[in-house]
Amino acid sequence: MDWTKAKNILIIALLITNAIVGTTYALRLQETRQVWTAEAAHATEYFDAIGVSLNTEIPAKPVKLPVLFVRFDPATEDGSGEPVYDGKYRVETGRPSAAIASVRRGENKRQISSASYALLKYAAAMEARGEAPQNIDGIELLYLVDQTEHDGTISEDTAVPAWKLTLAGGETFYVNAYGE
Amino acid sequence: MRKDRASQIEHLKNAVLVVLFFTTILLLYLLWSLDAQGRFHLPDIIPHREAQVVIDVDGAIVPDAIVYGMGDGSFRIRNEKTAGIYRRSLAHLSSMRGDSGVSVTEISEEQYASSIRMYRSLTIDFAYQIPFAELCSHYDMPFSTVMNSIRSFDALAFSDASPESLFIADTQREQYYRIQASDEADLYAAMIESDNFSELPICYTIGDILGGDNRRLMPLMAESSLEPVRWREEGEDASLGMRHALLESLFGENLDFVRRITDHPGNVTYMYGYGQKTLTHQVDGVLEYKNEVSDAKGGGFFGDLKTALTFAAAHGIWNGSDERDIRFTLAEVDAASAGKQEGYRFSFRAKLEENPLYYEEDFPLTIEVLDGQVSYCRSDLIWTERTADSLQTKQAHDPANVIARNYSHIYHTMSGNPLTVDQDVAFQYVVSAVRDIRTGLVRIASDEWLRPAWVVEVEGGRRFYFSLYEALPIGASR
Repeated sequence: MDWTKAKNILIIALLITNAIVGTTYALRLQETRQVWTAEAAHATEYFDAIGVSLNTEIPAKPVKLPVLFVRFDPATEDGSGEPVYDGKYRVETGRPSAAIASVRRGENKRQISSASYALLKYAAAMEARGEAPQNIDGIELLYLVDQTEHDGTISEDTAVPAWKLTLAGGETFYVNAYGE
Repeated sequence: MRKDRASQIEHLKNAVLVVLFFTTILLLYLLWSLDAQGRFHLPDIIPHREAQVVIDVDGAIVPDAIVYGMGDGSFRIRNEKTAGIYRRSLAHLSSMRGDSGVSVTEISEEQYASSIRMYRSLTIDFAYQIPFAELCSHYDMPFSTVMNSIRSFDALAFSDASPESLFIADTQREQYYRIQASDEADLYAAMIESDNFSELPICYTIGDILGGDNRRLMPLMAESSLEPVRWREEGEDASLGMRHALLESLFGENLDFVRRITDHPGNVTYMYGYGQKTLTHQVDGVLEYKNEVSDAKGGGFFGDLKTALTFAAAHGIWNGSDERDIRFTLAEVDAASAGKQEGYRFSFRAKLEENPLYYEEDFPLTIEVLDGQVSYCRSDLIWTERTADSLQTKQAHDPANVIARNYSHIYHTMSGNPLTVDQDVAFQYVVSAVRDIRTGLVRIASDEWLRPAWVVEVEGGRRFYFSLYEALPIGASR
């Protein structure tokens, strides 16, 4: 067998395969980015049209995030817990009195929904309530432990990525970034 | 010189090949991970796991008791090995449906009762109502228009009063029918043929033994070989496998993103979405699953029962085998509904060999099916450490004495009245309220042994447990 020839053929085949797969990957990434950018532009137009000003830039970079397993420290119930971060994302809980003792990332990541989706969810929620949407002062991606329906006996919970919208009046509105 | 150069080129090609190979793998992984959410999930690959499980629906439907009327006011009751007799009765029912000359007559409760009590008879009692048309359809019985008026039943009976007839009763709806065959076949004789019931305990009505007009039956005396059995909750290790199987199959590809909440006692709740699906694993081993089902067509009694049993088998709760020394039979069936969705809630009772195992509260397995989908499941399974059966039977405390010694306790618990009342009033109240009394093993939460007990059920379904050989109160349901 002519190994030299065989190697040449293999190298060419792998180069072609890599070129196809690499191009497909780059196109898919670009496509997602374009979708987010287009959504951001549409959201801006829509909010302009309804008279709501967006005093912040809409994040347009697609992100994949896992869930976060959060353990609370039962000994710290005085609200003195320091803010906890997972990488650059802050972990917020609806129970400010409970300090977060530790966080652990879930095994797998999932593509989160765009910030534009969160803005539209906010607008839809206001419409359903019969209220006018307020101006948006800030959009932040963070981890949220939603404990609105749970009491203080919880020792461990799961934080999911969420878009936090800071409204003009200082209020906040959270949207589950997994789109659930 | 040229040879060296050629060798260097070959080495370079080898290196390029290795780099290209790993680059290909990396690029393929990146491309795949753009869409995929992670590792492979078996339920995704085998989406119809439930469809592969073969379930014996008929095996779960077992009569609560076979009552032999002696015709002289005495009875004999069989609480075990009742399935075969029920199957024989179905064969007779099937042949009657194929009989073009068969007649169906609605009779009064008194007529039905006298056929059972005043003559030699055999009654197959169920603890729940079974839809009659669905039963006939389930067993592929011939179509018969004359039986259309029979909606459901909880007792099938044969009597010497009319040996060619099959009596069908729905005691809850107070509807009684006599199906009379056109020929002179002696169905009663065929039913009791080769059925040795002479060794079964003799029973009389509670009214005959204790006074009053309670027509429920009570044995005069009883012997038993029941001994305490050590039990333990489903251990963490054992339940972990079941939990993982349940989680994988219930939440599928979303499992990695299911919310997990642990409270301070250690109960863990897995929640998908905003509570569309939740699975709670309590520290005491109880598993509770809730699911918001979508609107669909219901499966009827047998279809829903099959759905429930298939669910239990497919998710590792109970696969119909006797691997725990425990098997389950249907103990209670209630109609269930939520909005427009309808179905059944099936509660299963465990049996250790042929001995019924009572939980102080609830049942070991309850599954609710709405619109043909499982909307609720609760399993509270245990393991038993059974020793060799004692062959020696002992005299159990007389059931009449169990009532006589404990009527005051039963009365005060039932009425919630701690004040002293007239003893005779309390006694009559309890005697008329007793619905059933039988032996079995009972699991009391604080006791690590399953205790042999007299189980006294009163009106309203409340149960009182008394030690089998001493007649001392050991527990009661709420």
